[in-house]
Amino acid sequence: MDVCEAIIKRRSVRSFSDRTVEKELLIRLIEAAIWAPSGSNIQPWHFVVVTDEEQRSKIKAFAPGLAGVPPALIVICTDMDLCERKGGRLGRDVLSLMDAAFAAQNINLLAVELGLGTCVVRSFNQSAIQGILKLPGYLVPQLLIAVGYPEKIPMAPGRRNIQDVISWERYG
Amino acid sequence: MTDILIDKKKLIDVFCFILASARGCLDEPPVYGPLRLLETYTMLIDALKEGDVPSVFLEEKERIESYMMMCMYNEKSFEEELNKSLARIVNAIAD
Repeated sequence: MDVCEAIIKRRSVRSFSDRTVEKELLIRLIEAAIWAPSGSNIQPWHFVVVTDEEQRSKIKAFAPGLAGVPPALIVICTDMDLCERKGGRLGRDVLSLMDAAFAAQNINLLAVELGLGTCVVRSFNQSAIQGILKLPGYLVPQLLIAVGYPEKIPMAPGRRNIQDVISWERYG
Repeated sequence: MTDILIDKKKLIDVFCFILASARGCLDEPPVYGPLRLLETYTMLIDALKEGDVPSVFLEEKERIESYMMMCMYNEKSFEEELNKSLARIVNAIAD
């Protein structure tokens, strides 16, 4: 599948079958994620992959933005100490989240090729997820990605017209 | 009044969901508030094991699930559907 096709076909999938996601595929998703760009090449990420039913259920309880209980979750965490040490305030306050998002999109796009659905979630309680996953204080969960074989693939929501969002040389 | 039996684990999940949502809604888009409330409605229906809950409430759950995500991309339609849900419940109770 070429990149453009994956970009166009990607959806935020919120309905998954019960089929287990193979460990090998989850590893491939993380392999894609670590090739994302990161500010100053800090690569501040740490990925916690959750497939255990009880653990997923606990996360779900404190993640209002998570639809259902997907077969697998990838929790993208960033090392905030590393971000600040190597990236300063910019690293800590801005790049930490941007880098997580870059990694998330790599996961999203490879998932399309692998026949998987994903949904990126930020509506969760960070402290609760830190506690459930036993994360050290400097590792902050930034994004949850629900991963599974789609039960239903949503229609593409509309897109703003490209003419309205592009300017050349200067705004206007 | 007859007692209702609720799944304990699902009820605990609802408690956690409500607290996490309350905290989340301080920072999140305003429309997430109504969305979380609707989700709580569906979770509570799912948590029911047995009891004399009027069927109109049980039936409304499916309708809510069909439109609740609309709040993210079509607030006007979301509001219309919410009004219809309310109207159905009110009609059922008023009878």
